[in-house]
Amino acid sequence: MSDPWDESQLVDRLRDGDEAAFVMLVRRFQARLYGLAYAMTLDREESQDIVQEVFLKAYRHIGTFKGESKISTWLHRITVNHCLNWKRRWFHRRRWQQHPLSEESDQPSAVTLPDERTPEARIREKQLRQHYLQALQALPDKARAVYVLKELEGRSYDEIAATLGLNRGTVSSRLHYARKQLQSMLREFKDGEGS
Amino acid sequence: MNGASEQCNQELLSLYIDGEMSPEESRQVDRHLQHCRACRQYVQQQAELAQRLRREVSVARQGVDFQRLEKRIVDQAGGQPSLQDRFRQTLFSWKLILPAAAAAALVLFFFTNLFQLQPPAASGPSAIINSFTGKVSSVMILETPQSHHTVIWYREEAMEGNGTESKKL
Repeated sequence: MSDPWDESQLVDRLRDGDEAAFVMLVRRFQARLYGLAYAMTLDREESQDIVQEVFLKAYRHIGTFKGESKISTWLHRITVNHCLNWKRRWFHRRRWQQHPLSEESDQPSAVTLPDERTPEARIREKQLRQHYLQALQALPDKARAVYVLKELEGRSYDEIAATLGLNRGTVSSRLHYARKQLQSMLREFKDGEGS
Repeated sequence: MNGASEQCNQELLSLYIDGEMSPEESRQVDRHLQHCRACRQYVQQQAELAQRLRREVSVARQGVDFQRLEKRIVDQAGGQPSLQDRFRQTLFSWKLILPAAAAAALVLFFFTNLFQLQPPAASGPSAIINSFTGKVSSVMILETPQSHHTVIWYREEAMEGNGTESKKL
């Protein structure tokens, strides 16, 4: 017995305007799209708005989805474009540049610090995290999009190329650039500690 | 990047990390890593950085009420027409009807004026008569109201000759 919600059936039902199919689409992809939006914007509230806009756009334009790629690829493409547009709007750009991580760095880190860790270790981790977020933020948008799709979503070069409309060589070079930048940040941080 | 002595290529290491190499190329990098501490460190650091990204995103996700977000999205979509509905609505929407009505009114106005500007076709004389000899039983001199053409209308009594001047002025 086939899964009533496999991708092709889901798309067919979405095209028929089936509301249950839309609910299923949201349920299946919202957390992933939120993660992608957050990694691109580093803004928790805005990421929710972006996810909402992405699904509404998908709802309105499902008729234009040709089925040549996976629906997840299509949704990822819409999400990345929304994130890039979001950053282009002057209001958000200003916010991104001037008050970039004030809220995010106050949020608890995912790193669970064992009780035996010293206060110095906690401070170090906090500083490293701040440094990391700043380095991520400093990456050019296009390089960050490739990096996030690779490291967060585990997408292959071909899938990233299809999502972003690039060729494999560009994906590879942008990924390498992003990694080099982040590694250099890490090295600077560690060198700073040593001095 | 066949041995530790060769210059390290981080771009190739990226391909290695991402599993985008052939099995043979991967084995070559494996052999290189056994001897090259710097490359081992690079690979390890990239793994740490990727893990850090996933952790950050994971924490951000934990702060989201996805049930609420889902409801918000579905409610919002419920208030939005689907593609087919939008097409139907567009056909009958005021956005389309108003410009169409305005365009129709303009066309109507234009053609009405065009026809009104043209002078009414005055019934031209059936013939230009320069001279007339004979008896005329009655003559009428008329002027058209808009083009102000003078029309002389006469009635002959007999067909013997022509004598009276008649012209359209």
